[in-house]
Amino acid sequence: MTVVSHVGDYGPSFITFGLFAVLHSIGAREPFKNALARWTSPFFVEHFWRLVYCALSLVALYYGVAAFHWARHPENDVWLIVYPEWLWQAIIVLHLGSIALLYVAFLQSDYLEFLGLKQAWQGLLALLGMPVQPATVELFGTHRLVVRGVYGWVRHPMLIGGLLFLLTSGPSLNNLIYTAMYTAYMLIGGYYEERRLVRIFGEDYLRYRARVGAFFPRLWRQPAA
Amino acid sequence: MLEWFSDYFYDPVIFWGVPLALVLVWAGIRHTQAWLRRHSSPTDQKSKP
Repeated sequence: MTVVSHVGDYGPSFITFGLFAVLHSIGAREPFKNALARWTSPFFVEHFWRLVYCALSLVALYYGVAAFHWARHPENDVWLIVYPEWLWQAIIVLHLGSIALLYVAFLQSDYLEFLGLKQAWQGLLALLGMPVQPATVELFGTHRLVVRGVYGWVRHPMLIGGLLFLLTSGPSLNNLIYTAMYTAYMLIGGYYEERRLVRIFGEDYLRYRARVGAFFPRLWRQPAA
Repeated sequence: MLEWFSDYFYDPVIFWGVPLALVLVWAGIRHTQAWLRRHSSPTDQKSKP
């Protein structure tokens, strides 16, 4: 009951996280990028927007939303449950597993492209009048659909890896509230991301969706004929 | 030991920097291998009849 009564104190956290989630989603959407291309230039959006977007997101999330959330209630950093030592060690192994899952997903989706460094490098070469090989980057999730490796287990390994990372971070009220906010964003963002992927990849994505679970592996799945 | 190791990944520089370092190391290995192949192949061809 005490925990529930404390949830109301987190209104400012809900607002800042919600604001971040909305801006983060808008910044990745095609209509926004098209408008930005008209306002700046298509060259800027194609080559430099992803890097700017990642940098802004990282700073806003770590030094804005998360810092604000944890700074407001330092008294709620104490654990609500005391785990037995063996269970805590098992949770730490899961925590490291979540990091491994995230890293495999990053690397498989092309990490340099994910951060926008590849696009920015090509843009820089083009600005310097140097030859660019290849001329354009085949973007993950926009021009190419990856369905193998960790993406053959779940469709959104980064989202579920992030959730596992938070769930295995220790049961303080601050962590639990942050995890709940992240979960809401994961479900809503995942829903809109699915719609975008169906629009882009059509039948290919529908077949992939029928075969592979969004956040959990379908262990009962029949092998493809 | 494991807890001490996992605590490092709460630092954003480490969390986001480790995969970047892995990519750069892997790219470095591939470039070095390609460079070695380019510079060793003429000798190999000369030795062929």
